[in-house]
Amino acid sequence: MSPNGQAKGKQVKASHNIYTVVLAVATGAVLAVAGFVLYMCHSQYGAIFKLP
Amino acid sequence: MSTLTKVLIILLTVSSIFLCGIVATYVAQADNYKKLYDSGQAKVRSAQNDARQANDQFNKLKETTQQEKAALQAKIGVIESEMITLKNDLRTLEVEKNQAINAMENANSLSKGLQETTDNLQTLFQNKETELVKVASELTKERNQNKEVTAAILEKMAIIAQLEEQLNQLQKEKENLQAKLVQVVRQYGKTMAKPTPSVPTVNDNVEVASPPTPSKSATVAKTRDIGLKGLITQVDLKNSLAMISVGAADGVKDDMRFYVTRGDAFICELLILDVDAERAVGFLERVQSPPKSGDNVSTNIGAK
Repeated sequence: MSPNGQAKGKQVKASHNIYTVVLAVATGAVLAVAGFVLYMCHSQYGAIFKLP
Repeated sequence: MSTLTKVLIILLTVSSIFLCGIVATYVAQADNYKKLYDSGQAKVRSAQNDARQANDQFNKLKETTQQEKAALQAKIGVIESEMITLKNDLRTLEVEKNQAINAMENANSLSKGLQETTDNLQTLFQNKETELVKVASELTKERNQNKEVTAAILEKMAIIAQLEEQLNQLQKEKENLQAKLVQVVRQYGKTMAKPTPSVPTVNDNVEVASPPTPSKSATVAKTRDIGLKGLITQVDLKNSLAMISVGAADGVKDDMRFYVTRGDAFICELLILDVDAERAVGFLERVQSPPKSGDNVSTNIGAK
């Protein structure tokens, strides 16, 4: 998949570069916001997926 | 890693972070609708309770107002009846007021008339007072004169008392003489006529200067015929007695003399000896002819 083309039969290794960190940060932010939303729903309405 | 992937990673990251920020701020600033609902529900319940209480109070107030209305209507009825009576009283009072005003006007007119009459009476009183003073002075003079006159009257009264005593003595003598004269005259069928008094009566106002002298007409007694008539009822020639039909009831008395006649002829005289109520018995005298029962007897010859 790399544009440079890897040799066949070589193991694929995840590139731990800056973009992976950025994706991790973005995923973490999304997860944090989702948890915050869930917390607020539970705290205010007492339920997460049900109508009060 | 291609450049496009990298760009997409960056764009995805940026957009995700941006969207996460927007969602976080929206959720943080979003209203708590449950709390708002609960508070609204509580407000609705309290408002419903307030409404019920207000409705109860309204009903109570309505009942009380109805009761008060009924009481006030009753009071209004009483007050209206009192008002009607007061109106009637007012009318009567107005009538009485008019009557009182008329009476007051009459009284005022009367008072004016009385004032005028009192003024006139006052002037008359003053005039009479002046006259009274004059009369009082004259009265004192007349009293002095009266004292002198009363002294003179007392003297005259003493004289009159003496004269009355003399008059009484003279009257007694006159009565004695008249009794004797009656006895004498009765024998001749006469009686005494009532004397007309010629002696003037003595009044208090008459001043008697001298004792009264009786006139001749008072002293000389007049006679008149008795005029008794009757009939002879029985005759007793042996004893010279006869009974006649008149008696004491007709005026016959003892020693009275009757003349017996028959027609124009004189028969005899009859001297009465005994008198009964309706008959009398007498003694026959100067008998010219014997009398009979039925002959006429009278006290006066020729009397009709």
